[in-house]
Amino acid sequence: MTISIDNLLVKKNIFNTKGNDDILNRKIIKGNTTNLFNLNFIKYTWAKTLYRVMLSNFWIPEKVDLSKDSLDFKRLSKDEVLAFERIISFLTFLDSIQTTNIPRISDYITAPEISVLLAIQDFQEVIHSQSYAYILESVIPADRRNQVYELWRDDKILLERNKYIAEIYQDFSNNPTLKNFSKVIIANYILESLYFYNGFMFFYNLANKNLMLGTSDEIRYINRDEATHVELFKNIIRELNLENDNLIKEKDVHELFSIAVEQEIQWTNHAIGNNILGMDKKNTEKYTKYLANKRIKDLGFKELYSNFNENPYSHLEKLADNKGEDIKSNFFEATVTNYSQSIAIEGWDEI
Amino acid sequence: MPYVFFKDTVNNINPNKHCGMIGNANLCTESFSNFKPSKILKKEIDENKNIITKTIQAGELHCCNLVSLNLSCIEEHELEKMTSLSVRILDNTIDISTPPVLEADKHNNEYRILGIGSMGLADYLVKNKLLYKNGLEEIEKLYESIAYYGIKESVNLAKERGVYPKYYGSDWSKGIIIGKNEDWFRSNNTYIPREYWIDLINDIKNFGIRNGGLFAIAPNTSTSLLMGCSASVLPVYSKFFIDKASNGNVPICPPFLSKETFWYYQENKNMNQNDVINAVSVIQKWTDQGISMELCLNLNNGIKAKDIYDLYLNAWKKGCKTVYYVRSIALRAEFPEKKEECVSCAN
Ligand SMILES: [Fe+2]
Ligand SMILES: [Fe+2]
Repeated sequence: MTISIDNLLVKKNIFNTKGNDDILNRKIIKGNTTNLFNLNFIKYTWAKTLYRVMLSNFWIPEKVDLSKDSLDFKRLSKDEVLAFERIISFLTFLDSIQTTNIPRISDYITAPEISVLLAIQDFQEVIHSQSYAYILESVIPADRRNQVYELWRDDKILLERNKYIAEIYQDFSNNPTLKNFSKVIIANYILESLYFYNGFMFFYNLANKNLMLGTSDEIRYINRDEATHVELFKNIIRELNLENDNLIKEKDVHELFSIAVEQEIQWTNHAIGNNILGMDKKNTEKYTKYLANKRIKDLGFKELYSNFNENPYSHLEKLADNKGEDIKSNFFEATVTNYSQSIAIEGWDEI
Repeated sequence: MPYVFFKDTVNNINPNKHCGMIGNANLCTESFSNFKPSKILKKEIDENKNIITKTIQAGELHCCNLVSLNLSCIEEHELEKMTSLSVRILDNTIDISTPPVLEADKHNNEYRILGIGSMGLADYLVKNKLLYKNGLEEIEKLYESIAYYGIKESVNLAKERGVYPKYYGSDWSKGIIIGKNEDWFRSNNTYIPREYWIDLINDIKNFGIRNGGLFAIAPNTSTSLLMGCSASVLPVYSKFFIDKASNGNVPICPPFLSKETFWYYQENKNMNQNDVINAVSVIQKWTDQGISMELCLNLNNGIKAKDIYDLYLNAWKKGCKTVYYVRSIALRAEFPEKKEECVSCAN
């Protein structure tokens, strides 16, 4: 098979004196940018809001106290401990490769306002990996830690699962065709919007039993960041389709999602299964398909699974505090996770 | 955001300004009175006994003696009895307890300052079928009554047990009640009949008063959960939320939530905070110390820096004495496609 030049994406230049930053000429891919970033001169206005939200979400993992979690950890059932280790290992790996992958996508993005959002996302993925490591170091005994870090390739099912997404990433890096670009964008959207969530629910389920509350605070912060990443990729997909004759096709989205959903269910059945109070295989299927439907519909496409539009874990999502207003923290006793940095507020010059 | 203490307002109506000033409040910003640091005058060493003796000029340290009326389950006709009882409970507390810091013990005995507060105001308003923002008249009536009954009981105690030692020269002794003198009562309308207030002023002049201060409204964030009512004098945070404290997450619903009351519960997370300031300023009018006023900024409702500035300024202009914790609800990542109407601020 030959690939026409049109279908090959070329890395943007770092130094481009012949670039044209006119808003009318700006495109997400195949544009001609000088890379100059000016927040007051942008084409994609949603990017400015998202920039503020992402910056104002800044947080530091060590500010959450995990000392009580290490005591709680000893009270977990055997199955809960096993699930805890597998999920932490999985999440650490995902965020680690995400940190490597995001800049590779950004190499081809020719709208500076979107490249900067990817840079912030990349930074946040670093924080996430580090916070998983902080949890791991705080609660898991020293002699177990390395084994847990290595689970991502020692656990067969986990390896299989990681391979699927990582290969899509690797393919695009090796062979940056438009087709592979479309796949990597969808894969990213899937990773950000679907892959973490049964894992997140596991921690909220523990929190629902008043266990591992510090860990669930960390997860809540991460969850809040991931929501901005989902929003970012959702918007990228929408704009790409406007500019590139529907590059991201419903058919491809459905295909990638259906494989991802199968793997997510298989993995969750392996990691969580039926042995943890509050979660089971039936609900794993319900939740994963419900979430996939929601994410696909958010892109403006048809849902994939009929009869899967009910969320079995809405009581756990309440603990995720997605809207930032479901949890009221006692600021003397518990970490307040729904604050914003002052950059979230505009209009300081009006005072 | 820092807790703000409006020192000017606080000291202008300090009933004990004849013998000191108020430089600060307790952490929750509701309880305060004269404060003065102790001073070391001299140190002497007795070399034979190997002992150093310090001579210290005694300072003054305010001590919080707090109680709260649970308005969610007090009927109007019980208000006088409960308020009087609160005065006696706290006045006894001062005699029974001994603060571990000498300056506080001395201050307690000299000023005998009480802090009668309340919780469950939001529930009380709902019981009376009032929206929080429309409850200003009812609120003023309630807190004016609490002030009247409380002061009256403290005068009764003065008859039985004597006045507080620093009483002479105080605003109370000059016939001034929470910054208001007889002229004020003659030219302003009140819910308690004017003659009652003027009689009370005369009673104070004749018999004095047992307590240098009587009212302080604490936040009661955790206590109100145990009591099953809304916190302090604030609107309910939400009709359903998860309260997160050190040992767990507890799902919370307001106590009287039902089909009939559903629309009367206004949710603080969506309210204009000036409505909270309005209510607190009306309560402040009848509260001699402070109120732990918490504000809640929902950044998804387009709050700008100037709005926050205006809130603080408005709180000061309306006579609030302090602004306690400012809670914020972080910006959401998802942009609502269409503007959703909030369920309980639309009438
Ligand atoms: Fe992440
Ligand atoms: Fe992410």
